[in-house]
Amino acid sequence: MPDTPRSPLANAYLRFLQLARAVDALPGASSLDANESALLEAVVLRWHEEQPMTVREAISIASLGSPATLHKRITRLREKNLLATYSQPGDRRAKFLVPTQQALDYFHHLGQSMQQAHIAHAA
Amino acid sequence: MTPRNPTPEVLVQSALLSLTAALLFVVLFRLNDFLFSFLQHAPGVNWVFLPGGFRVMLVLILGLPGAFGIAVGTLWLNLQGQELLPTGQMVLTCLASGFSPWFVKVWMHKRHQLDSDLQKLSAVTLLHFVALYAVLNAISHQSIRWFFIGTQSRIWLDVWPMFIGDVIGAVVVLYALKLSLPSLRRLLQKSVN
Repeated sequence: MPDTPRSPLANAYLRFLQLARAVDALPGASSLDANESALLEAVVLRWHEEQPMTVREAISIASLGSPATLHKRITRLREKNLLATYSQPGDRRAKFLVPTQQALDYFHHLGQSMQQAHIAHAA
Repeated sequence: MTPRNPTPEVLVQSALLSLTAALLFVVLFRLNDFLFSFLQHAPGVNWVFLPGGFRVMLVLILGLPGAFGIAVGTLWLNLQGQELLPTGQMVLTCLASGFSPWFVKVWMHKRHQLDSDLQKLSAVTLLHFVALYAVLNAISHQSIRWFFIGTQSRIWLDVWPMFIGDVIGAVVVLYALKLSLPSLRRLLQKSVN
């Protein structure tokens, strides 16, 4: 990657984002409720299958709630820096949902916990 | 990643960041005095010291301009204080106030635990940083005091309230940031849109 010089203000903002990510991961009460967790899992599964879910598809998952409720839930997951959106270069109408690094870290942590529980159970 | 030969624009931005850091540090120092004066151990030493947490944030985010700003803010607070410290003690105290977190940052950078853009910063590294900073800050402040006032200083007694105050202050400030992040992100999204 080229060593692009940045202004002190840009550097400060980027460092703030990194600090925010670390602060978000500080131990404490989980900020995800069961409904948010279910929606995040559905989105991450589709992303894992390399078929990212669009916002329209996400708000149509009737088993998880009404479109208005799901829309609010997506907004909350974005505010918690667990979901991000992107559009295809040729089509800005469809917005795709993808997990952020923080969401992937969260699932990594869950995976580790399951592994530890499995080892403890086997022992 | 700032240019090697700073342009006037970079210098102006750095000065602006230093000034902002100084202002924020002074405001939080006064707020801490207002909220927790009943927990004061000695002038400038409190069992809960919120500016201690702010030092961590300012130096991690702003780097050297942040450290310089904290030193300037501390100088201003000292000049406004009821008892004026001798010049040498005042200057060294200000430098310790601003640069102890910066030295920890540099030390962790040298040990490859932190990089200048904070890309390696995790929650564990952050807590590690807070602990190291609180140790260095308390020891440097109390050592300076001991050097200037000698036997009147109770270094082994006074170092603990400062250390604990900085740790509690840092934890409170970082968790306050954690709680306010969703609102901050909402504000940023609105301002971008």
